[in-house]
Amino acid sequence: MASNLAAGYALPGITRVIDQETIDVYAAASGDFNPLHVDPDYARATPFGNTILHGYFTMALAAQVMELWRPEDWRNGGTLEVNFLGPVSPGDRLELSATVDEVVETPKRSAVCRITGRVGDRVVLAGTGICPIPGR
Amino acid sequence: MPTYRRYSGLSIGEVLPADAVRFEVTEMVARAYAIATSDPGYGAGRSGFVPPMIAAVYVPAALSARNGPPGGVHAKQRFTFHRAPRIGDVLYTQGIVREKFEKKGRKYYVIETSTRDREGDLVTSGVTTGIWGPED
Repeated sequence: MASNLAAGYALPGITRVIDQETIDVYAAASGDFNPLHVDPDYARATPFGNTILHGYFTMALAAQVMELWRPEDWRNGGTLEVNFLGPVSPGDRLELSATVDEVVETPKRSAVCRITGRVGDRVVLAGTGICPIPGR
Repeated sequence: MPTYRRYSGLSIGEVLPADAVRFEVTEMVARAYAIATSDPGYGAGRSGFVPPMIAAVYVPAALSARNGPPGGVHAKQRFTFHRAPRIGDVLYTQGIVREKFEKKGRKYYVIETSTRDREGDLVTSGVTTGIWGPED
């Protein structure tokens, strides 16, 4: 599938509408019950004004975008690096997208993808996914 | 008297925690995480699937050894998935404090983590950048 390694190729993205139940289920699965995520009364008194989604959840969606594209290569050598730029709260429609920036040959042949997470026009996550591309 | 550590007490080169945190990759934990994140890799009849981002469950357990104050912020995260995790894996995670710096009045820390299996082989490596919470 040479064409999906071309610079500018847009990987199929992922969209999730976040609600408090999403956050609560993730808290239970991850063990992270920080009240900022699961206690609306507590969160209301913080600068966020509302509960927020775990950053790792948004990162997990970014990883899913990469894994859906090249499952075995990603699971056995992929690197994901992200900056958490903004909160995601219940009611937000979270969209993860990725685009191939380039294919590099060193230290090993890999596709370097730019990853973005957005809620509307607001960027909440930005990063890079590097997926190894086994030899030709 | 705060029960957390102070930023000044966090040392470059410090190993966290002193003994690696043990984590067993069970079907139940993997399934819970895949369902919580609506992972499309997990589907009917596909038992044994373990999302690589299950690292978000076992790595924070090691990072919590820094024992910082509440109100900290997860700023940046990097994971390399060296091999796909498997049901039955027993993983051991430790971190090393690599860097401390201040920027715009905020105190940052950088912790590098390594997660290995029973044979000592690297499964996941990570770099976590966080902002230390406010101290009394």
